[in-house]
Parts: sequence; C-alpha cells; structure tokens
Amino acid sequence: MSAPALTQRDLLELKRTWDTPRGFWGWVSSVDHKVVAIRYVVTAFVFFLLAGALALLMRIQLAGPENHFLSPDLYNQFFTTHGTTMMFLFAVPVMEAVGLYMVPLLIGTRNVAFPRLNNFGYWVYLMGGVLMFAGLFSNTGPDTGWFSYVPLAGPEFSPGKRVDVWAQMITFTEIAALVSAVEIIATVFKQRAPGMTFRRLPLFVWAMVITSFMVIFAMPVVATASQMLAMDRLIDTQFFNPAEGGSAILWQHLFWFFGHPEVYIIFIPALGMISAILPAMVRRPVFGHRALVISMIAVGFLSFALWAHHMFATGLPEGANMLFALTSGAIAVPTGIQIFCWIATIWSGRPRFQVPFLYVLAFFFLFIIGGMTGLLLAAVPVDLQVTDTYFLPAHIHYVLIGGAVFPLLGAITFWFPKATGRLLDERLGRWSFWLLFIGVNLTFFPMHVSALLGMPRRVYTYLPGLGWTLPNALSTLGSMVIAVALLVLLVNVARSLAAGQVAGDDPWHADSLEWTIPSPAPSYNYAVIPVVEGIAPAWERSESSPYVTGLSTTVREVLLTSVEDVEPESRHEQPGPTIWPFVAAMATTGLIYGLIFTVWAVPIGAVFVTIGLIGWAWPRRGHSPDEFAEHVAAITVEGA
Amino acid sequence: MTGPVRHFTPSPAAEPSRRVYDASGLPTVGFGPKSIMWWGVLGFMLIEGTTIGTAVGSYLYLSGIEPQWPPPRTAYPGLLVPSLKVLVLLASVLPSVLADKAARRFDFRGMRRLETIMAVIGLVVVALQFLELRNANIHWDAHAYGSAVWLVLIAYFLLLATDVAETVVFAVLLHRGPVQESHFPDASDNSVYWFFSVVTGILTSALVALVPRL
Repeated sequence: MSAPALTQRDLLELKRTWDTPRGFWGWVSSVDHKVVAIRYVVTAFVFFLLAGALALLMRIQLAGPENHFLSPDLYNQFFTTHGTTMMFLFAVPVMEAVGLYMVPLLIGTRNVAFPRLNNFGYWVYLMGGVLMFAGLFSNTGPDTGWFSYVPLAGPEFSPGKRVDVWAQMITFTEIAALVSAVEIIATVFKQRAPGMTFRRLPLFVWAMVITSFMVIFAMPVVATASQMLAMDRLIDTQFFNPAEGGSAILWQHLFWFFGHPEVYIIFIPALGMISAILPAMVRRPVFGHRALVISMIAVGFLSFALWAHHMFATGLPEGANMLFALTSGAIAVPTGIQIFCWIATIWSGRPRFQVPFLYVLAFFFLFIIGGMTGLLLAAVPVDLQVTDTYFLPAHIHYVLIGGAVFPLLGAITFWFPKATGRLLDERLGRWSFWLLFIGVNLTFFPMHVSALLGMPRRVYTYLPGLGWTLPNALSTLGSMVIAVALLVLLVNVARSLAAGQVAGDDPWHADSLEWTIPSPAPSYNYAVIPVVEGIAPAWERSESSPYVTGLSTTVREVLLTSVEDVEPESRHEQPGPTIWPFVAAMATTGLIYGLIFTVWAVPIGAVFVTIGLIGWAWPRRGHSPDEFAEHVAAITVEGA
Repeated sequence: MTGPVRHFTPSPAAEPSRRVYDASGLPTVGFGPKSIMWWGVLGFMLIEGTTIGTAVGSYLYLSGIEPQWPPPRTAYPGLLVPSLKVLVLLASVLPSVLADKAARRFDFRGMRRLETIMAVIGLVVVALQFLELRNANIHWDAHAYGSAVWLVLIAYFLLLATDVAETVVFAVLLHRGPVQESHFPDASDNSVYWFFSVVTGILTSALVALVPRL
C-alpha cells in the first residue's frame, strides 16, 4: 500500500526515528521487534540443529545391537540435552519468536508493547541455552531426562552439578517465555489497528494470545518447581524427600501441570500458522473463524486439566485416573472441529500446491497419526502397558514434528519473503519437504513397532535376537534422511538470502494486513496506520480505504486503541534503544549462574540486577520536579 | 495531557474520496486499562499470582500427605509479627488509594508525597516480612514442613521486595527528576500492584500462621 498522507521527507524522518542504530552495540540494544525476533528465530534454529545433531549421534549408537559408539553416561547426557533443548530452547521460543515478529505486522502497529523488555527476554533466553551447552561440553550435561524425575534427580542419586544446570536453565527460558507472553498480550489488547475487533483478529494472533495466557499460567509452576529441586540439592530443603515429609509425586504433579500445557503452548501457535497459510494457498478465507477460535480456547483450557495422564503409572486413585482419561479423550473434540474446519476450507477453495501448503497437508497426515496414538495413551490400561517404551518417543515426535515443526516450516516458507524481501526456492523447498516427510516417517513409525516388541526408552544399547534390530536400523536411516532434508533447507535459505527471487509486497496474494506493506517490512512497519474493515484486510483494501495519520514521525509513537471497540484512544511514546536491558540480562545471568553454587548469589546478584533495571527505566528526558509541578498545576487550572 | 483533546473524527483531508483519521489530537497518557503499562502490570500480577499459587499449592499438598502438620515437637509460627504485618498492609491501602487519586488529578506534589509515604511503608513491611521468616520457628532444612513454610514466605518476600524497590526508586525519581507526564499513570499502576501485594501478603501470612493450628 502506498503511504498517501506522508511526504518523502516524512518517510525519511520515520525511518530515522525507528531504525536500529548501526554497529554492534546498536544491534545489541535494538528495540525493533523484527530485529529481536529474527535473532530469536535464528538462535532457536541453531539450538534445533544442535539438539538434532545429538539425536543423530544417539541414532548411530542405536543403529545396531551392542554398539559402543557412545558410552552410557554420554548417552544419558545426550538424550536429556536433546529433549530439554527441543522443548525449552527450540519449540517454545521459536513459536514465541515468530509471534513477536508477526503479531505487530498482522495487527497493524509499529512495534511490540514493551520493546526494551523484549530485548531483555532474548538475552536471558540466549544465556540459558549457553548454560545448557556449556554444561554438556564440560561433561556437566544434565542426565536425568527432560522431566528430571526425583528421586533420580535429587541430591542422593545425582550428585554433582548436572541437574542444577538443568534446573537453572529452566529459570532462564521461563523468564524469557513469560516476558514474551506479556509482550504479546499487551500488544494485541492495546495496539490493534482501529477496526480490528476480536472477530476480525487473524487466527494466528488469536493463537498467540491464547498461548501467551497459557504460558503465564504454566511457566511459573515449572520455574518454582525447578527452584524447589535446586534448593533440595543446594541447601537441603526437603520438598521431594519422602524420608522428611516430602513427596516425589509432588514433583511429577508440578512438572506435568506445566508439562502438558507446554505441548499445547507449542502446538496452538502451529494451529494459528496453518490458519494463516491456508487462505492464501486455497484462495478463500478460513472456514469457521469463530469455531476455530472457540476450539483453540477450549484446547487451552482443557490442556490444564489432563496433566495426570502422564502419571497413570504412579498409582493415583482410580477415580483420578478415570477423570484424567476422560479429559484426555475430550481434547480430541475441539481438535477435531479444527481439522474439519480446515478440510472444509480446502474443499471449498482452489488449492495451489506450493511448499507452504505441502507442509499443511503433511501436518494433517502426521498429526492425525500422533493424535490417534495419543488417544490410545489416554486409555489407562494401554498407557500402563506402553509406559516407558518407545511408544512414547514415537507418539511425541509425531505430535510435535507433525503438529508443530511442519506448520512452523510452512510458516517460515510463507513469511520468509516478508522478513527478507526474497522468496525461498520452490524446487529446493519441495526437495527438503519430501525428504523431511519421508525421513520423519522412517524414523518414528518403526518406534511403534520396537515399542510393541518391548523395547524400553532411554537404553543406550540392546541385545541381538529381540527383534529390535530392524526397526532400530530403519529409525537410524530415517534420522539421516531428516539430516539431509535440513541440509537442503539450509542451502535453500542461504541461496535465497544471497540471490533469491525478489518477492514484492505480496507474493502469495494473501489476505492479511502484513502483505499490504513492503517486503522486507520497514523499521516502522506501517507508514500510516490502516483502519481495518473486514476479516481479510489485504483482499478488502482499495485506494479509498481509510487510514490514520497524525502519529509523530520524530518520536517513536504508537497508536493505542480501546480493547473491545478498537477505537483510537491515545498516542503512546515508546522508549528507544539502550544498552541497559542487555546489562540487566547479564546481571540476571550472573545471579542465576551463581545460584548453581550458592544462594548468596541471590542478594548479591539482586544488587546488580537492580542497577541494570534503574539504568533501563530512568528517564533521559523530562523536567525538573519543581518546574514540572508548576507547569502541571497551571495546565490543570486552565483545563478545568 | 490535560489540554483540550480533539475527538478522533474523520477530517476532511486532501483526498476527499478517502476517510482519513487524524490522531494528532489524541491524548498522550491514559489511566487504568487505557495505559499500556497497566496491561504489563496485570500480566506480571498473573505471573506472580501463579508463582505464589504454586508455593501455596505445594504447601497444601505436603500438609495433606503428612499425618501431623507441623511434625511432632515443632512450635507453631508466632502470631504477633504476621498480625502486625497484616495491620500495616491494611492501613497502607489508604495512602495507596490517595496516591492513585492524586495521580489521576495530575497533582504532582500530592502524588510525590504519597509515593514517599508508600516507599516508607513498603520498607516497614519488608522488615516485618524478614522478621516473619525468623518468627516461623522452623528451619527450611528440618522437615518438608519447614521447607514449605519458607517457600511460601520467600515467594511473597521476593514479590514484595521487587515492588518496594520499585516504589523507592520511583519516589527518588519524583524528587530528583527528570519527570514526565507518563509518571502519573505509573503512580496509578503502582497502586494497583500494591493492592495485589496487600492481598497476597495477607493470604500467605494467614496460610502459614493458621493452617498448622487447624
């Protein structure tokens, strides 16, 4: 869309006001949501590749019986670091990062609500990941599984610092996730373009809002629990020690009260991504906008009511088992409604079989397999039979790769031109898609078989003659195909960045607002704020569509709108870039790293964190208090 | 700020075929749900609330599986300090409400005076909270009961210390400058957060002092 109300000079001024300062420190202190989110996405994919490399090494170890490629101790560290990284350092952050990038663009605003907090969140997240891999590379990698069950993870059975690295890494990632959640909620509630009511809100934005609320109610639980575990290990608290009145089952309740919503915190943004991709790919709006929103909310609520289905084998009362089996089965209903809405969308549309659409189609196939094995696991007798077998890794990988990674890669392909100005290559995209699809099925389908043949998870090797050799060899072969698929994807990204086809504003002829601005999006996103009049604003906009002018071009102003009617309320000046959020993040890092060794890190670290926060919040401009008091009194009298 | 506010209406701009809305007359500050910071504060209250809820839930879970709570030969937590703390917290509501009102009528000096009072009250509550830890009559490593008591009290202590530190820095800022008009809604939001601290403070103290006596 052109920027009709602004002159060239205005646009230059806007650019000067909103651009990230040049140089390394400018980059470090950036408050542009796009700059921070791209860092987030790239960092999350680096962790994805690192965790993937660990998986590949584990698969090499398991390729044949009685293999000695990895030692049992290293194998334990690898599977723990793999699972923890994928869940805490890749899946949740990458979804939030895509949200932080896309939400302001989708709702027609210039930045996220608290841009300095956004920058702080990234650095905290990064330092959590650094802690995890520094631990692994110094033979202090966590080794008690991604859910660190006590008593194995307690002080008695896991001396040393490995579990402490795990517990404090949780703190980093939870702070970062919570910060992002608050960002997204405040941004969506207050910064939507006029006219973008909740009924017109893009489904991906809905998904991110629901996810953010889930993060707020789930993450503090695991952050508190991991501190309780750390304190049991550091200062002899007795939370999880049954000998002194503690309870090992309490850990499982706390962990899974977080852990089950966690899966949906990863999955719901993926649902939003599918709903964002589909209209452009089938050339019609998504069928059943309201049904999809209600279903996502229902999934969000239900996901907090089924944590104990991870604990069927712990001997909970039978009534509790029945209740949690019911709620676990019930979640299939809203999920089913969504799948039928998407099928109806495709059925009544005119599909274009481009790469993002292929990922959506593969999602249906893979996620339905994962969903069906999930229903089997919701049945208590079946769950008891397959607990701690390879059925679990098979199920979770179908759900999370099919349900989250495929839609994510579809969304990355879809939004890549908006972020970079260039399209990914379609032919290479198809290659990586098909290799990934084949590789995932080849890796994870045989795990169902090895599970039913009795193979437990988390064993570093196995004996020949048990029937496990062939399924394991196939899984290993599949994991290599996945590695090749990802390599092709990387080559595609590198080639496109260097010399990809220039995308233009709207290469997919898509429906949502971000396609009305240039690609890559300018630092200020929207030169003038659009007024939204329908559910598919990009398809509905014309030269005569309304817009808002009057925001400053020389200070970072965003338009705040009312929550329900989305009427303009005020102009809000945002803070500019500063190094202080980075300083505060490093002070937080010092505090948490220190807490691995001593609780005195808390009071000492708090001093430095406070200094960081004061530097961050202390205004650079303003009036002296006495002058200001006189000035305000004068205006108040005049205004009265 | 308090000057004449032009309503947000379509303006007859250069292109008559397009509806162009002029935002330049909109105010630059708003209170309550109109302030972006209020939503941030709300988010952090939900986070802190869930954290305290986790601590309280863990306390109740552990108390439910133990035949005796507190364990035998353990003294009950003292009642004097938490009672005093609850009284101070209840009394602090008045200056907090007044600070909010002063901010909303753009009374800078009134707001500054009340924020200073709130900072002092906050420091008193921090001191009482510190005494309450000593007053719990059990060490954190003695038994899961002690761990649970300390968990609830420390979870609240961290929330309180953060809130009070922010209020102290804010009060200093209002005295030293530079000050801006956005500090009025900040003061209002600070009061909202303090109400949350009052409620959670009373609930956590009641839990720790009374549940063992039930």
